[in-house]
Amino acid sequence: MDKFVALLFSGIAYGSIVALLNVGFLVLYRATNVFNFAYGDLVTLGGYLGLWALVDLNIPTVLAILFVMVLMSGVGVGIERVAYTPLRRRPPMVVAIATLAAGIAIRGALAAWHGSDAKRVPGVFNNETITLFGAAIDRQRVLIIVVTAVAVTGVWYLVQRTSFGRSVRALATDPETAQLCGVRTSPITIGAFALSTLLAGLAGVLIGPLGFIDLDFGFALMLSSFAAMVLGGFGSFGGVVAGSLIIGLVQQMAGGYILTDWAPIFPYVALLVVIGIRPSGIFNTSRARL
Amino acid sequence: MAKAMLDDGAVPAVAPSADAGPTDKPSTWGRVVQRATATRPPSYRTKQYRTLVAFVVVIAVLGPKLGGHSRSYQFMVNTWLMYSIAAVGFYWVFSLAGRFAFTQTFMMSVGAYMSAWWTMRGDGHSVLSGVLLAAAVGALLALGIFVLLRKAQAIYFGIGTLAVTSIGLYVFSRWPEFTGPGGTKIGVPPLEFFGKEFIDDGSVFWLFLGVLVGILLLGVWIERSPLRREAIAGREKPSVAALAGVSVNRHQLSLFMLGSAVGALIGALAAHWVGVVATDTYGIDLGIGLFLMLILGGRQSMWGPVLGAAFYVALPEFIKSISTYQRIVYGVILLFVIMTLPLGLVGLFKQVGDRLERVIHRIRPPRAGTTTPPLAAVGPPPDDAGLPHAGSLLSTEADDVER
Repeated sequence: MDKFVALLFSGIAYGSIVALLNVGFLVLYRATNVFNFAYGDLVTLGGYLGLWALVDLNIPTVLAILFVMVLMSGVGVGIERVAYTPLRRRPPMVVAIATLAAGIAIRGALAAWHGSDAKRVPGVFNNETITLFGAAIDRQRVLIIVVTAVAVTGVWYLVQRTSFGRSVRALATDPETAQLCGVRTSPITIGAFALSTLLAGLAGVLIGPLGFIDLDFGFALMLSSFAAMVLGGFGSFGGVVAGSLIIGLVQQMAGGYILTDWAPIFPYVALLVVIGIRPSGIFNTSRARL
Repeated sequence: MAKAMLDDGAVPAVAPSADAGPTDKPSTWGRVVQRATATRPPSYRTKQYRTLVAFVVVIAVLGPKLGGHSRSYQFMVNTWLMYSIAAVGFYWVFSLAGRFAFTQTFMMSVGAYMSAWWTMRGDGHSVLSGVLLAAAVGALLALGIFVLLRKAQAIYFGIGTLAVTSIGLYVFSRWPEFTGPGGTKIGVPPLEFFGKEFIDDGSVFWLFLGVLVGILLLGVWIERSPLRREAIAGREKPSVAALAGVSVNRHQLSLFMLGSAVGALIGALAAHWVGVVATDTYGIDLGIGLFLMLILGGRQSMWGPVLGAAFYVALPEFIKSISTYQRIVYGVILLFVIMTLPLGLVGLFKQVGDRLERVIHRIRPPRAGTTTPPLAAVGPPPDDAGLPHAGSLLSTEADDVER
């Protein structure tokens, strides 16, 4: 029973991080039709910025997280100005390749700054655990679940109940008509990029203390998030959250009970199964954004 | 007058003989002359072959000269040839077939491990059989991947291939019977074909050049065949192409299998050249590198990846002093090329060539009966030329997501 509870929390925590990534990714995609291939590297950047803030600058943990979120928002605005705005009128694939270029540059900057060795990010709880149903649960995982729930709820409220969200949904539905109706795309795209990278950075800072961070850790997380998006249905807010939790639980549960050594590839296997059978996703009943 | 018409490019009418009646057909000799002198459409001209011959001559002369300077230069030239082969295969998959796939480096690793395993089994299998087996396995694997992801279009296909690559490399790292302990195989037999060993980099240069020429010749045949234009039609407007009778899926599958087989082939050759195979060799860095080569060089021509590979291999030599920032330089250059040179270096050279031609024609007045070639279209070239389906990244039709 204790093993089941421990794996359950691990799965929910991992799924929460993936959900955080996917929500940010989805907001950006709906607002701009950009498939951001730099997303994994942005998560890595968030992790390294967290390491810098906590270790080198010695900022308290909560302030460090806020500090990283602000910095990452700035990075998002920078990417929007450099890699998106000049290519706004080009086909989406060109912009996707431009984000790939931005990701290469980010990865290069991180390699020059920290090198390629794995590093450990100190957590706020110093690996302390709480006991639930006999299982020792890392407090960091509980923090991840709580913060993600708050963040995802906040983003949902932003998208569904604010004028920014209305504009994003209008652009997602019909960009040309939205612009003709007075939706100003520039502030919306800047806001979408800032929010998306902020959430990526938050994910990097939260998950960093659970293990080691290196240049590839964000990329692996990005692949899991792709799997969750495909599973849940690209374009569906609830679907990607559900898909993220399913991916997290599948990886931890299946990896904990069967074929433990092969747990890291379970999300990819699930992705292939879904793509092979129903590429639109399990929960997606509407068309993806055009 | 007939010559003037020829110079204009028009198909000349053969002058009827004095004894010919109004309904008589041209003589046999007349028909031969007509066919030989008629202006042929671009796909039937010899320009592509001449370009290939010129390329071979230049590289055959310059390659050994450059390699003779130092061993590291020779290694660099051989690496360029190797990457060119892999990148041309990727060009067929990404630019022609329009399939956003991340499997090329995985296919290289499959080829490397397959050939290494086959030749090191102790049964005395030749390197040639190992290399051919590797290419065949690469093609079959591509077939399996395509069938598995047949319902996925555009970016879904790319994500699926990313997943396949991740699974594949993970499996290789934990399959010591096939890939060696920790996914590393050492002591791979050297290159040997028909009794000749290719051990030093100088001899490997000629082998790789020969393979590249073979691949480029195949590329020329594809360029001259209906496959190219049908593949492009299928890439740009799959529904319309299908209605016009083009087998879109079959063409995409053929090019995907061909490109993957080429990737596996060069992976196998590289394994025997270097003598070591490791999973790190074919990771995400090389995958992004192939992308870079294609975009930098130009994705509308098969010469683009060759040029891009030269740039990719040579650049570290020029930025040795700032090698720590190499990746940043790659990213900035890629962004710059995307913004300012959408057709890559090949497109840039073509623009320069077109302008030079116009200048020459302005300086040299045209001969009597000839006309100055028309100005090239002003304005930026089509952005989506050479890209997978340039509409939505996901789909423009709901039923394209699932087929």
